[in-house]
Amino acid sequence: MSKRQNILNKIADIIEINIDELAKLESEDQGKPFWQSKQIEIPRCVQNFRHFANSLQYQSDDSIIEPETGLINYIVRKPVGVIGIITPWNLPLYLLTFKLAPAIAFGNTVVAKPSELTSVTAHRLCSIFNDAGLPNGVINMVFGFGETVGEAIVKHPSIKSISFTGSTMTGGRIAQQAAPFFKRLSLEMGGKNAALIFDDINLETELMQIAKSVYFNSGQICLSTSRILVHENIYKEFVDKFIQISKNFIIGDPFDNDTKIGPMISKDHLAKVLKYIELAGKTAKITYLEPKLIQESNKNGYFCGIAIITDVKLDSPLMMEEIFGPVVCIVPFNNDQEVIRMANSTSYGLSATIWTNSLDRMLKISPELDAGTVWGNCWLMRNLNMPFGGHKNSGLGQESTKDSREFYTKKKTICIALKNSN
Amino acid sequence: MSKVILDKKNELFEKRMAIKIENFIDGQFLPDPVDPQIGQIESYNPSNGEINALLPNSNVNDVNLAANAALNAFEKY
Repeated sequence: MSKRQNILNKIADIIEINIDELAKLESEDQGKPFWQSKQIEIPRCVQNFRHFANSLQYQSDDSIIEPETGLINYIVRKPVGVIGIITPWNLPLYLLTFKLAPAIAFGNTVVAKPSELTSVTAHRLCSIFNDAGLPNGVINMVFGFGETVGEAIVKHPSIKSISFTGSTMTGGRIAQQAAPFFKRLSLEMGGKNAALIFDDINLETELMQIAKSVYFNSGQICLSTSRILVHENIYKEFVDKFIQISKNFIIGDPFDNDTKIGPMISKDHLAKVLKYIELAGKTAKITYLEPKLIQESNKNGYFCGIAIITDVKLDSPLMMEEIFGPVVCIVPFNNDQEVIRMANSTSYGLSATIWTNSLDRMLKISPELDAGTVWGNCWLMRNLNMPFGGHKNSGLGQESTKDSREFYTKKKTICIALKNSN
Repeated sequence: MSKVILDKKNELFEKRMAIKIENFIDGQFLPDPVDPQIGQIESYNPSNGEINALLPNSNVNDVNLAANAALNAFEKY
């Protein structure tokens, strides 16, 4: 086990040495700002490997000794076997390494398929595996489309578990295809996350964080806030100030230091987001902030402006469907029961944020939200020791030090009878 | 590899050749997938719409190779 630990730590070290190169590759491939790749995402890849490498030595299992019946019971764990890992294009290397690290930490081997839209850093990671001395065949990567490569992985009889992050629709297809094989499934899927804004918050200090939860990564995160539910007492003030602060989120080239958010991932995805914006123009009120600072060299990029939607029906597709772009709906509410109902009204249940200065309200409302993670006065804070995973159509299973161990190992109970010493 | 070209405004900038992505199986980069005739997949740089990488259009045969490599490696890992 300590040999595995050393290799994982070596992988982490080599990623760390090559942060600049990997960040550049990630931003060229995905469009996210270079500062984001360099300061946030690639360092988290390092952390993923170190975390799972070093938590191995602190893990233990239950044992029960029954003196009257003369039995010793204990748990033995083994790796599952070959794991199929399928990852998306929004946080490419971060989400891939978050699955690879525990899979191989616990002794499994892997066949991985990164998204065909963003395979560059995954490919680069493979030479890092060789440099770190990871034995041949422990991690294998096959590049291509989901319909061919992904489906082949899901249906392969020797690939016993599938860990997937992506859309709810694809997750559903995977669940169907894997069902006859009784494969283990970890599915991390979409969200339509609500931010609940109560009238006791200090807008001046909190607004930037709330806006970041909408716009970070151009809204292309399963955890992005896409519905802001604001107490009617401060609704108008909130909308005005939110529109103002949104102007700070400069859309531009990933390598421009002023850029806060980048383009959409692809032509297709841009078209999809623009369709929702068009719908907003017809059925609601929309404030659209054009991207102003696009250079000549970016004229063929997939840039989308910011869309802030109000006067929208609660059951509109804009309020129910995952858009995955810099698009947000802001609606008022009157009381706690109403906002809880509104927050829980979609088929998703990934995360939510509550913004209030009242401890009582925070403690009372947070458990009522049907979401795997509820953040209070913050967003995207992630401790790898806490379970992460969506409710309803947002996910199947959790990930964390303990939960990932459950998924990436199989356990058995050994029960041994002691001979009578009389 | 990079290629230096001049644009309309006579400004020099470096244009990188598309990265060739290869399947990584059993510790090796394979220059071609099992069925290369199926072609390549183009991956674009979203900030300018240019081709950034070329991927093999892999299929079940490549997955089978990978799964076998993973199975063999599992015995010893």
